[in-house]
Amino acid sequence: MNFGSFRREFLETAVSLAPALVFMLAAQALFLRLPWGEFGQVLLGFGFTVLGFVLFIEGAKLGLLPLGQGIGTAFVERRALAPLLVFGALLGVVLTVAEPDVRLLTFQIEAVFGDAVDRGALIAAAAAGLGGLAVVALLRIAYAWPIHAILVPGYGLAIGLALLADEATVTQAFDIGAVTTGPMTVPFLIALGVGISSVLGGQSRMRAGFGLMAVGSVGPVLLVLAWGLLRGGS
Amino acid sequence: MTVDLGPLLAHTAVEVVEATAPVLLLIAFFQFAVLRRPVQRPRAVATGVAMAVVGFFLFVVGAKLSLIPMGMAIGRALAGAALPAVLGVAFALGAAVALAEPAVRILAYEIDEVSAGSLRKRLIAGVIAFGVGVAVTLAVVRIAYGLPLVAILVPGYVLAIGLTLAAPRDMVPAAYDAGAVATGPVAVNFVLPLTTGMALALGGDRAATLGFGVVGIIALGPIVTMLALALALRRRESDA
Repeated sequence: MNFGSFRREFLETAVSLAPALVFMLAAQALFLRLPWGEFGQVLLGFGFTVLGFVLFIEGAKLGLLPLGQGIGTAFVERRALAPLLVFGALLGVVLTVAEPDVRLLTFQIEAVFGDAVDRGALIAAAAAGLGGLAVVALLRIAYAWPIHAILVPGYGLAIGLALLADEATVTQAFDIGAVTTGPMTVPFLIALGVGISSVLGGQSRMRAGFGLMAVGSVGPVLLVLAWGLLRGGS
Repeated sequence: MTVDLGPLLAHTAVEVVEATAPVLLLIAFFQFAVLRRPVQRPRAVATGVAMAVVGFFLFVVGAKLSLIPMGMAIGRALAGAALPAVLGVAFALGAAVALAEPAVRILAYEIDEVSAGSLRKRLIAGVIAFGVGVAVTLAVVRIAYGLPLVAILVPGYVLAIGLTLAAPRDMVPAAYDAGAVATGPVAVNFVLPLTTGMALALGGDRAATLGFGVVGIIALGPIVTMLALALALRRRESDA
């Protein structure tokens, strides 16, 4: 196991969560003044959050990413674009389901809206959206399509649907679209994209990676909006 | 606001299985049924999967114990404060979250490299942080005045699309990624509960929806500021 990588990830995670910790400490000192038992639970939970995130990312890098990459490379070497796209689409679906921030966002939506929202259906719509757009993102890399050709019509359509949908659907669609491309999804999609571009020619490593997250986010936004409209939420 | 631990741990355990089982099944299916080959370094894979599952559990439990309830409590408390002060806090929180996010720094570094140093990474990180700060501020304005989310997103995306068509082509992917990297765990688990807590404390019949949408606005903010930066720099170059 690579402890250098573990330490670096730990430091990065601690730094990224530091503003939240500073805000919590300031709020506790200035106006919240929770009893120490309660605030102790908060601090313990904060420790869990940092440690859990590091373990999750490092575990995925160690155990899952090489496997996913190996499968992608095997298809790329065989020049089997169709099975690669199928794998990419299914990977997009299961990675959205596995994205912790998607879980925590839908948990918060459910906590406020209760039974008025179907959490499973919301996750399913977002997952299908990311799966579909993962295919578009991979094709873009393979054929070097310009990114604005996807983003401009994609977000144009999203705006149109947003004007028709009800407020709850709009908030859910854009919030979930922003979190589907999180720490779990991005490394996998970039690895697949880089594999494709290295075999099929196409773009450089960096260019292949750029824009992947943006293209991926459009899918969940569109699918959640469409699902909301179909359900009659207008 | 003490959280009841028993049900929390039980629910989260079920969630971990729901979330991780599909990935593992998919990878196992392609590995064994489609490619028909053994797993290389099986011990590393087993260790990694175990770490990821335990980490997922701890992260979700931790967020539900600390960031989410504290964010909501702080939001409720801020609901009673004067609006200009709350707007200042919102901007500072958004900018700080973006500056602390490793993915933002990595993206700023990559853009610096790709642009051959014409875009310094500190400038890029600053422009992304400004975009996120403005985004969180707008989310608070939306709550204070009860604006629908489309009142922010529609003009925002129309502006983004216009800038996309006008900005130098090679900067477009990076600008959109700037929106995606800013919406990390802190945005979802601390900023969102904060705005939700604020909206619920202020009340009204639309309180439930008013607090949501902040993550979507955060994704949009840096896209607009990064595209505007790219366009401004090109103007300056062509004037020179």
